[in-house]
This record gives sequence, structure tokens and C-alpha cells, in this order.
Amino acid sequence: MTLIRKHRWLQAMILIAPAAIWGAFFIVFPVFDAVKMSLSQMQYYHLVSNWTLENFHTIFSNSLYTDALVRSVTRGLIVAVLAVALSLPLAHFISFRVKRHQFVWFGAVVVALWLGYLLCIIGWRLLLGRDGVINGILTGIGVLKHPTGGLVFNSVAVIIVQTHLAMSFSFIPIFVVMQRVPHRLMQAAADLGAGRWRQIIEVEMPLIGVGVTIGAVFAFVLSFGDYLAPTLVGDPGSLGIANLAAGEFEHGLDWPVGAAIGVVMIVVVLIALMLPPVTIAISRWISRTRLERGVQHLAVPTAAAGDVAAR
Amino acid sequence: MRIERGPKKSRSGAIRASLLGAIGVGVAMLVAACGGSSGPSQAVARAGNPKACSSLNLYTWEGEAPASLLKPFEQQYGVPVKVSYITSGAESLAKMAAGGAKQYDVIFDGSEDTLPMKEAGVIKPLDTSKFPEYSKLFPFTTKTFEVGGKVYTLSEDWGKNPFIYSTNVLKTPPTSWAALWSPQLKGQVSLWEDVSLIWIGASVLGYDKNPEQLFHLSQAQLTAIKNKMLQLKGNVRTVWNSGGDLIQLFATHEVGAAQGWSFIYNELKAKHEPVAEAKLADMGAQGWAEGASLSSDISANCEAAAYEFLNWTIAPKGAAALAASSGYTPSNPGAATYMSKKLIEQTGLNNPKAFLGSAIFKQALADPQAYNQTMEEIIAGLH
Repeated sequence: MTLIRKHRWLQAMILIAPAAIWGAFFIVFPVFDAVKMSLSQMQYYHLVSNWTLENFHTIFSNSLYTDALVRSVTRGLIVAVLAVALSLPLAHFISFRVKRHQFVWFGAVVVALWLGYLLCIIGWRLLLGRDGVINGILTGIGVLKHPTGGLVFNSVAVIIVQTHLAMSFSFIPIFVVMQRVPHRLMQAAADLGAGRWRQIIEVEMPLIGVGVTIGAVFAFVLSFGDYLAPTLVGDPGSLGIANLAAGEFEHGLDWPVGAAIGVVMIVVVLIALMLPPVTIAISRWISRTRLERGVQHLAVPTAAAGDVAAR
Repeated sequence: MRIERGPKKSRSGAIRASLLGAIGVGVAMLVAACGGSSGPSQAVARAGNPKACSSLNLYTWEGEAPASLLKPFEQQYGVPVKVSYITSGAESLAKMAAGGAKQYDVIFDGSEDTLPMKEAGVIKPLDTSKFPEYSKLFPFTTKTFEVGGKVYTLSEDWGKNPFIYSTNVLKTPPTSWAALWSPQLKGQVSLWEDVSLIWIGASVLGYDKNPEQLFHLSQAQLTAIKNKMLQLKGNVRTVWNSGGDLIQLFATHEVGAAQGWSFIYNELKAKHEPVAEAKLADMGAQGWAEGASLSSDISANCEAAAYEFLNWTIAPKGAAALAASSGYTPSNPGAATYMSKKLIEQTGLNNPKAFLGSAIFKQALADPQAYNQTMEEIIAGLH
């Protein structure tokens, strides 16, 4: 015990050890294994460690993989924008308009969004299907003569479903940061003559920027790596990069190419995860710059007033 | 390669009584066996005490390990059978190669998986003289599991992946896969996300005239198949990848034609859906056979137990119990004695040749990566 008390580095090691061991087992080793496999090759159904970049060359030289990668990234960005756009007014309403039992509202929203993943997808398929509720309404009110098959099994259906699934992940961080926005600031802005939109854009948005970014990143990551929604509500061309990775393991028996796709996906996700810290840095820089400009702005009239007084 | 299996059904206690006979023969064979310790590459069962096996670890498909199959064996030998389930043939190969050979004793695999498993060194050849019923099994299924003159997998059951269509959509029964290209099926087709969709194009282009060729298609042939399949654009509405998925697609009238599984067809018929199975002259490589293999790392005692267990699974009563659970056609025609008339007709055991039709059993692919890439290019190009 004395030894531990004596050395602070030992205390730090003991405190960090559980998290470090957890991280090593569940993050570092699996990722290392995936990277190692991506640099290997399959020979007669055996993995051979060749330390080759051939699998990455296969991915980036074939439009099958690059198109799927671009499709997944594009869809991820669309889903991120939509999920944030839908989460913002919802979070704003609960934070600023609901006066009592805010957390009951929050819980109700989260529970509604956290339905089973597969259940959500199948639910949407039934809703949008030929025999679905929407077709029933459209034919019932005479908009359509016959039910249409065009509502599901296309890219739009995939985006709708993924946006629904991603909303719980974008809503929570946005709601949490909105909780920290002091209501008096909004009130002060209103007192100074700012309209409702100006209050939101100039007061609320800068304060919730980090939560919005985190929500968007979560939505992007979920959509980017999603395997099920493109399969269950998409058309054949909706399949993304995650479906190709699964195919390499399931049908192609080419695990190294599958692992290489996985590594590329990890890199894309890491780039996405860099966004929140970058956003924080940028927003701090903007705040600092604004503050400095404000100080300068205030300094000029003060000096002028001083001159007037001297006269 | 199937992902979902039929529901479990309860078995009668009569199986337990009949087990004694089958096991008795197996025990006699075991006692007669006097082989010493042998390496994994030798098709000789090692001497071992089946009752000394602490547990027999079975790696099989869902629905293919019913209590009616396991209990009689467990009661006879006092050896518990621990079951793990496979979700795909490739997954089982991956698991076995990654150390599963030490974890599992008996593995169920398809005819297309036997060669990869043998090449990966995770299964060992079987001593077929230890199976009294072996000579009674359908020869057209047993030969699919032979590699280099050795048997690596004991044939258990077989079936085909039929052309299922809605009788509301297609009024005339199709006679060829070419019907999928019909304008009547615009926006009505669902394809299985599996390399077997390649064999639809191969059949339409006539490559199935030489069955062996189907598993060794050249790049030029694969390209020709891809171009042909891409002409299905407009007809293909979606791809499916689980039995439940296709059942729902038919039940909600989202699709009117698909390449499916016998299990799916039987489920749809049971739900009184208006579907029929097309009798095709060009089924191609849509036939499948599966069986049980022994892990290369199995212990001597568990190997002895495994031989007893396998003898029971292919004995008429054991095979009937398996068929009742899975809904698939047993490899032992003798199983019909213990099957209901309905099940016999459902599994095609009353006329196996007619049931199989022109279907060719799947084999290992010469270049799985090329097939997979062609499949992915077809699917990606169909939007």
C-alpha cells in the first residue's frame, strides 16, 4: 500500500487498468485482427499472412466496391441531415415549450424510437407495401386507382427507414445540450428585439452545435454500416458497402477482401468521429473571435466617450 | 445452403424403444472395431468408449436437432448432446477454421462445403463400414460427399430450391427459368441473395447441359450470365436472404415469383397462399444435399459416440424423426416406414426422382470469389 501511495504513476496505472484491459480486448485486438486479415490472402481455404495490399487494390480498382462505398457515404450524409433536421424541432419543443414533465416527454420519444431494429424495418415495409396502410389511404381517398408498389423497395424507402432508426441517436445528444441552454439567454435575446428565428439561429444554435454534430455523426455511422434496411426495404441497387463485406464472408469465402472492406469502413467512421472535436475547436475559435471583436467594438465608443469628456 | 429450417415438432416415445435396435447394431460394430489410434487423414474409427464421452458437441442447422432425435441417444449412452446452430455454410467453415474443430465434434454441412472443409483440414474421412444403413442410402446423395475416393460426410437429407410463383400472377405454369424474364412479371420477381442465382442464368443460357461445368464456369461464361441476368432489370423488385423474408413477401403480395426453398413453399401452402411450384426442365444446380462430418480434432471416446449418434440419425426411425422436424427428404428411403403419408408426399419420398426433377446437386465452386463478385455485380446492376 505504501508503494502505491508513494508512486502516483502506479495509482494512475491501477485506475486506468480496467478500462485499458476492456479496450484492449474489445477494441484493440479485434481491430488489429481485422487489419491483419485485410493484409492476408486466402489460399486453399486457409488464411495466409502475406502482408499484401492486394485486397485494398481490389476494392479501389473495382467500381462494384467504390460505387457501393460512395452510395453508403452519400446515404449516410442524407440520413444524418434528415435525422438532425427532424430531431432539432422535437428537442426544441420539449426543451423550451414543454413546461412540466419534460422527462416524461423525453422518455416517450425515446421509447417510441427504440423499437426493435428489425421490427422497425418490417413495420415500415408493411406500412409502405402494396397491402399497406398508406396505399390503403391513397386508394381509399381516390388518389390512386390501384395500390402502387413504388413506395417500398427503393432508395427512398431505405432513407426513410434509416432516418427513423437514426433519430433516437441524433435526438438524445441534441436534447441533452439543449437542456444546458439557459432560458434567460433566449429571454434576453427576445428582450433585445430578436425574433424567434434570430433567437434560434444566433443564440441557441451556437450553444448546441456540439450536440448537433454528435447526433449527425451517430446517424451517419448507423446508416453507413447498416446491412439490414437496404436488404429488407431497398431495391437490388440499394445494397451498400456493408452488404458487400458480408457477401465476401458468406458467399465469396474471401475473408481478407471482406476484412479490407471492414478496415475501409473503420477509416470512414474514424473520419466521421473526428467531426465533433473539430467542431468544438471551430466553435471555440468563432466564440473567441466574436468576443475579441465585441471587446474592440465596445472599446471604440468608450474611447470616443473619453474624448468627449476631456473636451 | 439454407438459413432457416422448419419448426420443431414433438416426437413419439416409440422412437426411444426403436433406438435400442439401431444402437445395438452400432455397439456391435464398435466392439468389432479394433483399429488403434489413427491420424485425422485416415478413415479408420479409433477404439473408444462412447459412454466415456463427456458431451457430444453438435453443430447443425436450426430445426435439425429435435428432442426426438437427441433424447433417445442421450438416454441410451448417458452422453448429453450440446447443440450450436449454423447460419450459413461459409460461417460454419469460418468457425471451424478459427478453432471450432476443437469445439465441435459433429458438423452438418452441405455438399458444396465438404471440399472446402476437407481442404481446410477441419473434418476427417469417415469409415462407412461402421454404418450398417449406408448401402441403403440414395446413391445420388452419398456420391456428392466423396472427395478423392473417401467419404467425408454422411448423407442425411436433401432437397431443392424450387421456382415458386403466385397463381394469381402467372396463370400458365412456367416450364423454364426463362419465365422470369416474362413481361407478366414486371416488378414481381425476388431473387435470393446467393450465388445460386448465377445458376438461373446458367440454365437459361444452356450451361447446365454439362452439370460439372456449372461449378467451373469461366470468366467469359460468368460475364455472359451477368449480362443475361441484368436483362431482368424491371422485373426484379427485391432480393431476399432469409426464409421468413420471402414468406412475408409472398404473403403481402409484394412479389409473384421467386427462387425459393422447399421449406418456404411448404410454409406458404400451409398458410393457404395461392402459390405453386413450377416443374422446370432446366432446374440447374438448385439441388442440395447435406450430411454430418466428424471434426478432425474429435477425441477417441467422442468419435465412438459420434459413430453411434450418426448411425441413429440415418436409421429409419432416426431419419424419420429428423425429416418430421426439418421437412426435408431423408437420404434413407427406409425412413418412409415411420413417416406420415403427408410428410412422405411433402418430402417427395414417394417418388424421389420426380421430386428432384432436373435439379443438380451443388458442389464446391472452383473460384468462389469470382462467383461472388458476379452475383454482387448482378444485384448491383438490377436497380
